[in-house]
Amino acid sequence: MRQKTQVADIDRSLYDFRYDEDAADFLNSGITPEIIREISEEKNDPEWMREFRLKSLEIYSRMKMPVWGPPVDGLDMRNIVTYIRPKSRMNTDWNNVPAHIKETFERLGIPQAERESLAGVGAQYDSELVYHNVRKEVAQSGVVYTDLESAMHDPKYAEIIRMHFMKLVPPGDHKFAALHGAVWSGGSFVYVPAGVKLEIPLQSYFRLNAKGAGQFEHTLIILEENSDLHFIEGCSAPKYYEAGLHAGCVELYVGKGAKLRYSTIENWSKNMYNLNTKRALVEEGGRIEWVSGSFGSHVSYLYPMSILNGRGASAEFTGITFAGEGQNLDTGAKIVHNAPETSSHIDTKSISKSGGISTFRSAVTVHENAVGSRSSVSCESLMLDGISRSDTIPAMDIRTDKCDIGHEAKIGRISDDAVFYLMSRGMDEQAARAMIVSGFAGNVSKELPLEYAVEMNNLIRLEMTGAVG
Amino acid sequence: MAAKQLNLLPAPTFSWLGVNGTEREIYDDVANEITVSGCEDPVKRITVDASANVKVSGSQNPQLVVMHINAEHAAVQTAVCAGAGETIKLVQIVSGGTNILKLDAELADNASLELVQIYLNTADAVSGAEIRMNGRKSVFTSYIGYNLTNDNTLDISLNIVQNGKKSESNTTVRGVLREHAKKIFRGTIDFRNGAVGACGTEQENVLLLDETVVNKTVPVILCAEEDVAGSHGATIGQIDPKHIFYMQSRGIPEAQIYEYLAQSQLGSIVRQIGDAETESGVSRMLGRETADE
Repeated sequence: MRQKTQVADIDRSLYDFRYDEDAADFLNSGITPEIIREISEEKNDPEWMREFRLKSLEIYSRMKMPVWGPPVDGLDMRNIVTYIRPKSRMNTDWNNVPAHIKETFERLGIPQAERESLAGVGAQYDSELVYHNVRKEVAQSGVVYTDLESAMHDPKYAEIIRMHFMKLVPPGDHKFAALHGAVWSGGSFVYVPAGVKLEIPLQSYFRLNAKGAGQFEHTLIILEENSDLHFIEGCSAPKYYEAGLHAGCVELYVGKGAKLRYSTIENWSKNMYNLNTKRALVEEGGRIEWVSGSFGSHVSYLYPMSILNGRGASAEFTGITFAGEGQNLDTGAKIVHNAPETSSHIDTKSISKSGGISTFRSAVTVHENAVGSRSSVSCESLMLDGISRSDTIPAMDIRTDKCDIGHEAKIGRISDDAVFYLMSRGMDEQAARAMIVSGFAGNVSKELPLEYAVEMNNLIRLEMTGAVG
Repeated sequence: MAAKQLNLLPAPTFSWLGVNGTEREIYDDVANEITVSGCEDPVKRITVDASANVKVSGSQNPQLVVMHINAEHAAVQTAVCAGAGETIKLVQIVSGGTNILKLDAELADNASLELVQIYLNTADAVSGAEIRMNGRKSVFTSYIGYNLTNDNTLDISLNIVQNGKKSESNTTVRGVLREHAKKIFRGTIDFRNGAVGACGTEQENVLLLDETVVNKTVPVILCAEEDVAGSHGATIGQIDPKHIFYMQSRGIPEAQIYEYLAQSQLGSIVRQIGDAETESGVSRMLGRETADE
């Protein structure tokens, strides 16, 4: 009798440690105008931001929950704490960061990564950035990498923030964008001047330690003409029984001829609702590259959108999703072709096991003016058992004849033929299956920076056991 | 008349795309009842020019049922029941008018249903089909073609539910859009838990001939079974410039090249009808015979 080869679940022990919080630092749970005013006061918002938050709250209150994605019934906003006062203000010296926060990030390997391979690092703990630093030579080239609040209060950048903040993702976009507009806190501001090309990446790491809390960081990146940046974000949280919420927002402005690579390894704990919104506006000849690994969360809604707004702009999305027990991960990408000769490519893989649900969802829209545009979408799904689920729901809306649009999707199990072929070359079944699954995820891992590729492989931990017969 | 939501996507997606369903007024006129069951003629031709309820059931002999649907306003419901081991081929030619079509089919063990649907210049057609492949080794094959121009609109939903072990579905869709034509195709392969060894494929190829057309394509695969193989693909766009160059080098004027390629786009679907008389009629409607002369 043949025993089914087992693929182990993601090993989360690295991330499941926590520190007790001081309850006095928590604002009341729920979303009310009083809480919004309190957040605004804590953060010393300028008047326009205070009004923006309250207006977003109004929009949030009247918008309905999405009716098309995974259920979010387990998320009761009355129980979510939207802001936790920080124990320490933002530091640029690692030595000044409180010991328990320092230890958290040490255990996650962030300072080591900074020393070895990063141009700058930001670290957010619960609601606020606790550390931000950028290499001297990078700062001297004119690159700004700081926390968004500091930038908003700096006369040099205040107007830039005001002009760009939630203009790509307006609060009316959907209910959780409105929520973000009301309660956002933390996140990074990156500005790369024209012609500056960073050879090594910047990285922000987001850690949500508190129980029953939300994290609502806002990342705003502006690349001027012909600049080049690789930005990496990582996120994790320890596991609690109470639902947590991540409703961050990422807005990326890619100027003419500029190139931005945005890599994410998302590894929230399995009590988290990850309702994140990411969007890029790409001007003439610019390029956005998304690399996305979704491994954590109880429920995810994540579809980075690329708006190709200038002639010859291009987008590439490479993603992998691993849905295990108790997870319903709805991921994908959205592309809007809004200028001539734009091009896009989406390439995703998803793996479902132990009752996990993985959904690939995409939208490619080609407007009337996007003459000569090209797009290709490829998604592949692997089912590792009969109790899981894998769906693909792509959509294409094409409004010009002068374009070439292609789409392909495949769903299935590990091919017996492929296993047989490898076994005929001398491998045992266990090794053959392991190789096939590794190869399935290989196109994403090779796009990641080395240390993240290693983390991804650790996350997947495709341990193959079982007798062969 | 009452407004009704039709062609609901089995797994809804982003609301702003406007593909989760469509709303139409349903006419309350009395429907004619038409039953086709185990007929002796190898080909049964039906003309539908008003609302109708059509029931098709199989027999031990393979059956070809050809429906011409051409009404100003009509709601046509077709129910197909293919019993164990039965083979049915259903051809639906839909032209002109404002028509709402519904097809429900159920396939038992080893049953086979082949569906050919051709939509020609439909003013406004909404066509929804649900194929329930409950039987082991049941087979469903469909060929769908459309040729739309002016302000024609076509909204198609094909939902293939594969429950049966080793069931097999294959869908081919080819179409041409010109001028201000608008079309939505939602094609779903739904592998249910227990459909061990099932496979399903779906391929759509759309030729766009004017910059004012609107094409929406939503090819969905839902999968709750490990041991299945499903795939779908779509190619949407213009004629390959290399083809145009080649045909121009053979002395064919550009306008005619577009016409030929549009006709060949539908030709492979028309050839699946399997009834010479109907094929000839459809070709005439497409202008192929003129073009061949």
